[in-house]
Amino acid sequence: MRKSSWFSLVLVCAFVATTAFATQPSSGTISVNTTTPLTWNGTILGGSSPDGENTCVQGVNCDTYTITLAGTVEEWAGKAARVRINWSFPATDYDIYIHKGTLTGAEADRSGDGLTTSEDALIIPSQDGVGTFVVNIVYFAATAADQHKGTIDVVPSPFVTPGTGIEAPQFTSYAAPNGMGTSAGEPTIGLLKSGKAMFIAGLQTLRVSFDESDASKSTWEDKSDLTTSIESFDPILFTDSQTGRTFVSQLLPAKISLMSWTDDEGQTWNPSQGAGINSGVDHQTVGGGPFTPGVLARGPLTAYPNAVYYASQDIGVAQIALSRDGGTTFDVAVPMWNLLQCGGLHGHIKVAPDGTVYVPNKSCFSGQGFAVSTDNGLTWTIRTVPGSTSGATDPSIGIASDGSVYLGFANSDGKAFVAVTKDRGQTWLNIQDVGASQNIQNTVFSAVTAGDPDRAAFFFLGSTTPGANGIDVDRTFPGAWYPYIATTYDGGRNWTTVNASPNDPAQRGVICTSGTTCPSGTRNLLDFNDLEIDAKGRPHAAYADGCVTAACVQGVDRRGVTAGVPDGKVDGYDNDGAKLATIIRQTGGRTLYSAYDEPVAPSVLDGGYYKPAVKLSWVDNASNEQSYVVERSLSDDQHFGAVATLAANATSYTDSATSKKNAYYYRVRAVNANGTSEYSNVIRVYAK
Amino acid sequence: MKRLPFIIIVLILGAACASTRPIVPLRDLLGVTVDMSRDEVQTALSAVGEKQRDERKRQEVWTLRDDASYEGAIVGYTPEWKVRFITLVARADGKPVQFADVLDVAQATHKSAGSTHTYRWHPAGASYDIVATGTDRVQYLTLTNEN
Repeated sequence: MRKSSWFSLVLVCAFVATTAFATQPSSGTISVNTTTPLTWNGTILGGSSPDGENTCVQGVNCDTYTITLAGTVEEWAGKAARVRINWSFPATDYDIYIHKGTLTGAEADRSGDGLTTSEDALIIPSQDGVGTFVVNIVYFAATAADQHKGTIDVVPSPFVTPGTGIEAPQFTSYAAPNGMGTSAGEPTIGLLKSGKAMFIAGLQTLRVSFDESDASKSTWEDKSDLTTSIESFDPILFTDSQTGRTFVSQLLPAKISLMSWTDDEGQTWNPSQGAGINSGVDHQTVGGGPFTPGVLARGPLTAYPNAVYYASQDIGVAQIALSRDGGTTFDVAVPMWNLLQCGGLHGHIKVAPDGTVYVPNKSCFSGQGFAVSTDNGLTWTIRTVPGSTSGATDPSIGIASDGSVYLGFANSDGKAFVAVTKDRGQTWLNIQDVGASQNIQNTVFSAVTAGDPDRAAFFFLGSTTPGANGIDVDRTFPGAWYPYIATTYDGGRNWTTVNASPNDPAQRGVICTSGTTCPSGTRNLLDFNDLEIDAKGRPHAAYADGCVTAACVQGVDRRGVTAGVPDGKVDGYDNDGAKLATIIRQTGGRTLYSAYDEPVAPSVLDGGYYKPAVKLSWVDNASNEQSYVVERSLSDDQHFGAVATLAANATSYTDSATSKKNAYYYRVRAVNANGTSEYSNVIRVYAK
Repeated sequence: MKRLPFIIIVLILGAACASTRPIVPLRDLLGVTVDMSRDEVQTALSAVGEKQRDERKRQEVWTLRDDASYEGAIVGYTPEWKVRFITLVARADGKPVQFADVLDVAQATHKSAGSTHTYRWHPAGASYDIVATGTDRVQYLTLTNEN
């Protein structure tokens, strides 16, 4: 009896333990063809686990559901398994952690928003593989009375296959002349309404004008303010494209930020308080844009309409301060994140048209993403891209006119990724490697800008030579780095990626990303580049060129480990170690504003002779044409002259000025203020 | 009844004395003081947590094992590897720490942005500041010898 009693007790305990440790049911299998979502109910006893899953106790304040993704990765192409949990009360808070294989396996995704009644996370087979995954549902703050309910269904994957592209924009490179801009590591650029660019290169603030009639010409002028020309750890420049005000800031060793601003393109400068805070020791950034209306005590104090933000790090916390008077003074800084949450460095501040503020980070909870604020920088939420992995250089954000956010980042595997979000990072779409079409293996210095809702550009330095030593300290890395610009016109579904300077690399050999520990000659480009658009939507990329002499550009093996002795390969020893201010500017093709598009060409031009006239018809493919021009040649398909200018949307024309027994050649093109379309096909009509 | 005013006066005086009682300034956080050597920091923090990683600018990130109030610590060093700051990060649902628990709020400089408050106190005779930031309770607590 005694033995059987103990045995029964063990059985009961085992049953309780087994059932309490998992959801009801505890597991399921899903395939790509599954149409009915899998469901389960929570069985947690109660309590909270504020440390997430680190210290939660299974069956007490965390619960698991085991899901098996049946089939192959290929069968799941374009699809993902969405894990969703719901509960009743916003005060309750569950978080999701998904691990491959077992609870200690690699993390596939997590979701941990607050003040909601649901969480979504994704298993993306193209990234995470298939097979068994454990979904760990953790009580952050809840009671057993508000159990979660879970579902898993099949949804489109946010990762897409890189597209073939549509049309390649053309770019022209402009280097600073006459000894200017020779210390341009970590450059930033701002575009003025006049079309001029403001460019910061170390202690020099340069103004650059471009000759619209001759794309090869530019004029560089030094417009530095004395205040920001003395000393610096981190130079930064920001131009508010709405107001035209340009800010320049330099960070001093004593944690002082010296800042000036100009409203007249650098002719005169006005002093700023600087950050006005204990401004930190590293990697400052300035940004700005509209205020979110209605936030108490966080609106404009003066006639200057927009917010200006300053961010840096200090005492282990990334902080941001708001200026409500156009950058003259700054409020007290508030924390955005701490080093337990994210890496210390951040990318550049960007502000959406609705006032939402974004600060990107290359490493938050092992992924890349941003901190986002919807109350003019007062409180912050961290959001990351599913499937992304911590990188070596800052990600960058471009915000389109509808608020769509394009996040460009160099993944830990060196690939150049872009992810798009339309809900401030709660969900992501069109996550893809935009360097794949160019075989990019190593990427650094992401810089993104956007224009119309579906248009964005992503600038990065890329190398087709694989190997992690490309961003390490190894001067024998044999790759060359070129400036690439990827452009999308369809919301990030397709990207056209081009080498914007194919005959002149930005660097030969390693680009060390290890900060001040980098060996001499490997960190000449420092930590980031920049990309902004002008009023016509043309991207302007700012970078430091590390390879400027003819020998370096041509790839001559000049040196090796032993000073002055070639080592048989073109590597970091053959680089110039320069940091020359350089701008790559779009000079052809569609820009990021459709208002400046040339019209699309008409097609399917057809016609015949219908006594006594020639009648033509074509397909109107343009949406922005102002007129159509019909051209005719009397002799061949070369010597055309205009015979008619027709109103927009025309699709036919009757040419009565014809003579019998003559052949006529016709072609048509669309015209608007931005230029002319390509011609239609040419047809020959014989007047009988 | 005659004693009631006297008792009230005593209570008021007591409260006043209590409120003006000098606060003993924190000299260390988890055994770490400013200017401490890196080796000493490793010894002190290894007893209560694990180092997660090194960060740029000579910083270390630590998580704490069993602290009821704080989940982690960030330590920054000078080029000579002496502590220039240590910051404790409060647990979101940990045992709350009030500003008055860690510094003299009457003596400290106070700045706020929205509901976020920062108190900075330089204790008399000390070579460091105590900085506390948070909303209704301390979110970050720092000892630093930097301005």
